[in-house]
Amino acid sequence: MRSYCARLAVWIVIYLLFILGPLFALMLGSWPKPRDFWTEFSVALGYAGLAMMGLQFGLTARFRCITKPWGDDLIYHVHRRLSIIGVALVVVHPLILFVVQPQFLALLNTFTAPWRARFAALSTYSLIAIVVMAVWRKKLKLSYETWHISHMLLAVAAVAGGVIHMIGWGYYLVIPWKRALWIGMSVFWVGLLAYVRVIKPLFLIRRPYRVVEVREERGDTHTLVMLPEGHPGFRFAPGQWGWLTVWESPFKASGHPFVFSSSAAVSDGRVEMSIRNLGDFTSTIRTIPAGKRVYLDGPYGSFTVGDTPALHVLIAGGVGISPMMSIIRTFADRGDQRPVILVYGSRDWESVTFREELEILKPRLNLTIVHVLEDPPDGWTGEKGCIATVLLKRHLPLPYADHEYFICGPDIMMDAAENILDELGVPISRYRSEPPSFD
Amino acid sequence: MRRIFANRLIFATGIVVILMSVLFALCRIYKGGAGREGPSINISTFVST
Ligand SMILES: Cc1cc2nc3c(=O)[nH]c(=O)nc-3n(C[C@H](O)[C@H](O)[C@H](O)COP(=O)(O)OP(=O)(O)OC[C@H]3O[C@@H](n4cnc5c(N)ncnc54)[C@H](O)[C@@H]3O)c2cc1C
Repeated sequence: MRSYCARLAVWIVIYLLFILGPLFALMLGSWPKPRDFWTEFSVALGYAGLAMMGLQFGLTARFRCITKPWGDDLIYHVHRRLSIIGVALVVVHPLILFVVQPQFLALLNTFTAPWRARFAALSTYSLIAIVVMAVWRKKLKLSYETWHISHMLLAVAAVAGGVIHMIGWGYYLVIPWKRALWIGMSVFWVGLLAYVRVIKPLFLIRRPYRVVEVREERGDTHTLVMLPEGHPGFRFAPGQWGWLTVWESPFKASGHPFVFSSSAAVSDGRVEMSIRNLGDFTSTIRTIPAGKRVYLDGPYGSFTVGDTPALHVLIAGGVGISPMMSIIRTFADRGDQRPVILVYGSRDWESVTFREELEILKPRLNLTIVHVLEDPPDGWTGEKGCIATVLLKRHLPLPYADHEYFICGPDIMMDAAENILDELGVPISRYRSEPPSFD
Repeated sequence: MRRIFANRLIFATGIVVILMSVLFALCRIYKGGAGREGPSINISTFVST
């Protein structure tokens, strides 16, 4: 726990250096004449806000060194929350100016305003649109793909507009090296997006996969079995996931995230993804013909087992069984006899994905399976309802804080499971959770 | 639980950024005259050009 907090502190300090360093760099060397407190404060907020928005490109650039220590879901959560703060700072910047220097209100008239003010407006309106579309995407009935493309375009417009506004305004940035610093930073931020959307796809296109089988599973799920084509593939740890692109080119930003459900102990680069039919893309999985060329970007994620001999408690709900299957299959292939308890929530007995295979794997492992059914059949003697404190207490040995926990499933289940672990006195450092969604 | 913890840290980070912006402004108005002055821009030029 202590090392977790220390690592966190280091990350926060680095983050603050990236935000505040370029701001305080403006105070080095020669300065323009100082203005009143509120003007300087509002300008500082604008610079800091823009730096925060720019760094968002780094959070979502799929760098493993950033996502691995914390988990991708948490990084996306931080991305959303920090964006709200960044946008608030940027929006407060003109508001303060309008109050202390009302003559600036004239800049709101796009027809008469100078270009540098128009770029400020473009940046601010883009940022507001980003927040509105992200927070109310579902209410606005925007498809994920439309939202994603607009999100990227608006983000680039916001950063570019902000920097052009700063340069146009001059003031601190009339000093060439300060101007170069801020332009360089902006190019770096947008370059991070180009890395994910142009450079990475270039690599992917040279390392395609071929679908060898589409297997039907229980629970409206299909498993896609893929083999690398002309390359050895990548190695992944059980519990990790990748971006799958099937119908389009990897340049189109149309990848969907899925966990690898297969064993990580294979030598031919084979990977499997077990995909539940939940929407437009996932409903097409069953129609993928054998032989189809697909692209996989991965592996990602920190939802992985270490080498601790502790009891591994896997808490899965619905499609959250995929990473657990990978862990269980890998343990079986490696002859790993560490104790595992799988607490597996499903709607009903018929929709328990991998039900039969789990029974087959059981004798090869030190595995206990606890099925929890929402809608059990008549005569069911097992657990029913949802995963709850009493249920875990019934099946887990004491002391609870000594086990390693892995949680994956719908958001509600994950929140409940995390609260239960908190009640049982399990520290955050003892569990990993990864929801099959970035929402 | 992780998200609640993260939310607290994010909030604290936001507060630090605001406080540092206050510090930046204070440094500018109190030490502004002491620095080597570079070129300055007139606000009215900005509004009218
Ligand atoms: C890390 C991770 C691992 C996952 N693993 C699995 C798995 O093993 N098996 C499984 O069945 N599902 C998994 N999912 C969920 C799966 O990615 C979505 O169900 C799928 O992308 C939905 O796409 P759709 O077009 O069919 O549905 P839609 O109706 O278009 O979308 C439903 C929801 O899925 C999410 N989504 C859609 N497209 C994307 C995208 N391109 N990128 C990110 N999120 C998107 C959005 O939240 C959207 O609201 C995982 C998700 C994540 C984040």
